[in-house]
Amino acid sequence: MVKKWFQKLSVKLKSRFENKLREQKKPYIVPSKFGIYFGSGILVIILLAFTYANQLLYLIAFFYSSFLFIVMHLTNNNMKHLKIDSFFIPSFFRDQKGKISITIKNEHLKYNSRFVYLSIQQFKIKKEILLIKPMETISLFIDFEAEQRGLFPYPQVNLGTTFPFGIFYSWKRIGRKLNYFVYPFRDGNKDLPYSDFNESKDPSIINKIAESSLEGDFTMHKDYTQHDSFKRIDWKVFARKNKLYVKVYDKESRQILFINFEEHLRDLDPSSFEKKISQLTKWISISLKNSIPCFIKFTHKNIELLQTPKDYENIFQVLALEKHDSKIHGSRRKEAAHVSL
Amino acid sequence: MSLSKIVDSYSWLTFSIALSSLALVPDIPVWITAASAFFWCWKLMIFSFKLASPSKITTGFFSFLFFVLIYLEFKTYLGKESATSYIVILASLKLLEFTEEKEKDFIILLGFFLTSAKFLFSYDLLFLFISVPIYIILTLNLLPSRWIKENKILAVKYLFKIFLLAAPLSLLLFFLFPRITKTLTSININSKEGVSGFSDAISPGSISELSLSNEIAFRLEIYHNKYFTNKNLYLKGLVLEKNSSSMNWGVHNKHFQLTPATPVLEMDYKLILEPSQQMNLFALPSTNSLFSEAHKVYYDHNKIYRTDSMIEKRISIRGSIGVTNDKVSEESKNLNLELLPVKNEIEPRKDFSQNHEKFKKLISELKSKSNSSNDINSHILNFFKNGGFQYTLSPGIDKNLSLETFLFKTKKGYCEHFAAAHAALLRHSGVPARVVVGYQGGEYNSLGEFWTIRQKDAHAWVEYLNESFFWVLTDPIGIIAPNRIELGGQLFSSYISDNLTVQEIQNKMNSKDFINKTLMWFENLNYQWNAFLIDFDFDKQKLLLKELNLTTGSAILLLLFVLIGLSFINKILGRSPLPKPYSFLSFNKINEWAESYHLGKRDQEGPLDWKERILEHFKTSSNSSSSSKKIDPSLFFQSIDEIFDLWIQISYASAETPAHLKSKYVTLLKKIKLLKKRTQ
Repeated sequence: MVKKWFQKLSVKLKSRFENKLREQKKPYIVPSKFGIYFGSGILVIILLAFTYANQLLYLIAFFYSSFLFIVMHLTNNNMKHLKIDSFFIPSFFRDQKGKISITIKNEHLKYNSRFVYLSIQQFKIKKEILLIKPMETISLFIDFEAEQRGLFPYPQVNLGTTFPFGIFYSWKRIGRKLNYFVYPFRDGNKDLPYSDFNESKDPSIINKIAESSLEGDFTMHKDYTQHDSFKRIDWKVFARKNKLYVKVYDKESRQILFINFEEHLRDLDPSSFEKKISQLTKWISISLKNSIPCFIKFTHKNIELLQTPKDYENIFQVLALEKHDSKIHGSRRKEAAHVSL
Repeated sequence: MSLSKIVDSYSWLTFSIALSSLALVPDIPVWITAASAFFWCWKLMIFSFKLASPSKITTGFFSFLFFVLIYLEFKTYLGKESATSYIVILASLKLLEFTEEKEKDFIILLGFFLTSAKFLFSYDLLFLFISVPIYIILTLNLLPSRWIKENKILAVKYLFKIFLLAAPLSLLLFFLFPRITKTLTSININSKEGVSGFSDAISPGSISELSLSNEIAFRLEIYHNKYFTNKNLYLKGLVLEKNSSSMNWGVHNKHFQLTPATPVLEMDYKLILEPSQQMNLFALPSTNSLFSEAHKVYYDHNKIYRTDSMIEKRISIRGSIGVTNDKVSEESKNLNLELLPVKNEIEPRKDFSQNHEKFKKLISELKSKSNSSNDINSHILNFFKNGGFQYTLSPGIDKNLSLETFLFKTKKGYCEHFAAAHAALLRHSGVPARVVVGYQGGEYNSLGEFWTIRQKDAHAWVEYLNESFFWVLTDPIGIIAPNRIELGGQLFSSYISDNLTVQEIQNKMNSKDFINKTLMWFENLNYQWNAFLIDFDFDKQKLLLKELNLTTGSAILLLLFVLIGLSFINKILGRSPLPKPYSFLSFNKINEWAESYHLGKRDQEGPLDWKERILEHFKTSSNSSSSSKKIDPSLFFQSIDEIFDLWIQISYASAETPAHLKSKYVTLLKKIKLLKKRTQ
């Protein structure tokens, strides 16, 4: 019972702590580097006032101490009402630049927020936002480059400010417990591994073709009947002729892509492995772009057809996570494919 | 950012640093000023001829070099002069190497130190007026430079708002924060200041040298006994009883006991003394006590007051005047009769013997003609009056001048010549006498009712012992140059050097002309300011707290409460008010009106359907003859349309600002009110 209670408590505390890490509601505030010098300077003036019993120096020191007190509140207020409405990093290919999309809102009805810095230490990014008006939302799109493929957690974003006088530094830390994928490079000069519908003798492929909603090559138009699907109506023809026609496809004459993972990635050294991954990625992305049906064979039995964008996304994720290990390569790939597809 | 752009952006900052450095010129050695000027010129050359800025190694080398030189000059780093000198050099070096914007913060910090350092040397209002804009410029430059460039007026307004907020809190801190006025440490000052240069001895020419300076020695404010005028304003500083040679007088080497001065119960006058690096205090006649918050005060058997430590900063001295019944002791009387033998090596034999004969004849005349000490004194004064003596402002220094030569050959001198000769003649005539040095007269400020006494008012006079064993003041200058006594030293020297007419002198004394009036007004303001600052010591603070029914501890607590309270207020005021749900409020108002006709909104009914239902109801009721309410149809239906349109706009216009939404809501309320009137 006690053990269970402790377990519950630790889970509660952990989630609260993690929540805190994710979204910090109140900003922290500390003196900046210059602020420490400035504060020390005031202390020196107070000491001089003490030493020489100089009332005027007391007055100056007290004035600037009050000034510091007020500036501390101003810096805190500059940060307090800022909130990150959205923070999103879509997955991307390594040959592209990653895009961080952040939306910041000033939730105060009256006060501006000025000279706010958005920094992402992991990517050494620092952006300055000069002004966020009351109730204004601004969106930032930040490009960054990925050094390697894989699955990465969202970086921590810091919103900070030293406005107005650079004496105090107030900041909020925002994190998300999410991940983003960096898909491999799309690179390679080899021809696409086409395979004809008709030529494929593999029964599992034939079954897949039969099960699928693959369209073959267009052959002709026919009049629309009641049982035909709306999706096949050729609206361009209708616009010309003011009569409904549906398209007819020859499924069996369509060219398909056939990729055998094991065969393509077996017994490769690391540098060749990366090249191969890039080549596979390129093929699959061409297939997606040009709507070429693509079959992926993981094992003799496990053949998958990429139909929906989600399928493609999953295969890219598998490729992103693929690691070079010749011994257990086959079984690992099978597991990954099984999980993702 | 290019150098020219930096200079353009920071021209005001540079100017304020230059001004702060200039203000410190009188307080730092000349060679420091010259070095600083050299660095400024170098910077100017770099800017004008687009030369390369020196590297950090070069400026680092210079800063180290001056660090060493300043130590060699002052033998310490802990004095205000040495520290200030170093800051001046650092500021000019930092400006020399200033090429990047990120370095401006350090320059601003140095600027703050430079400006504040001036207040270690002077409380003067003039510099305070100059320093306020300097502080404003320095603080303004702490704001982001981009913001200042684009929105200068907004930035300045923002800064002033903060200053306005900081001012009351700073005043509260100033009055309530526990004050220590006694200096915490005795810092060894190798100061070049030595404004009041009275030493323990005078020789012919020493006081005239001192009075070449126009520096203020102190200010005097008399509260009671306001019968003092220039003529009788004598402030005693030192009593010289030892006649080392006939014209040289000094303080006796005998060790006399110092007695602590009693606290002043009723303040009759106040002195605000400038730093003198000495321990002498100055007192009005018949002073029975002096007191200072900053130092312990003692007096000797001659009622000469001094402090326990050197006066290194401006202090306030309170004095009380009363009847003193200190009869002079026999020992003191004998001391003041001592005469050292006249040395004949000083003078050539021929002159000496002639003058000595005349001297002996004079002494015998004085002894034979006079019955009392007063008579002897009067005869000596007559001798001075009729003897063709001249009072001169620049007699030169001659430590070896003999009494005889002065009395019978040169016959001209400053106050110390006449005082030394007068006292010597009195002693030779058998009257105990001594020379007193201090200040006589000053400038009276009728606005503030205080005197400004300068080094030019330094004076020497004589005191002799009468038959009742009391010291009597006598001043030979009153006979020889009565204008000096009437006008005071400052005005008298103007009278002589500037050839002022009597009318001009009177104008100066009465301050009738505009310039003198303005100067007097400013002088008064300066004095009141200085007096307030210096006087606000621990005692004054205690008194203020007592009036507010506070102790020191409760004052600190009060300060803490105020600070916490301000933070709390900031939190409340900074809270963003929740945006009002105008959509919901609008719906409520419409529904409230509709409910009165049993036309409230139904569940799942859309706004347009609801509107249609209401319109339909009123169309029907307007057609029916049994309806008791007569409604103007066109206006009525238009009003309903408008109301519903507003409600829909408020509900679905998410991009609108709260101010717009509020105004639409207010319009909607007005329309509903109008509608209610129409349907009544």
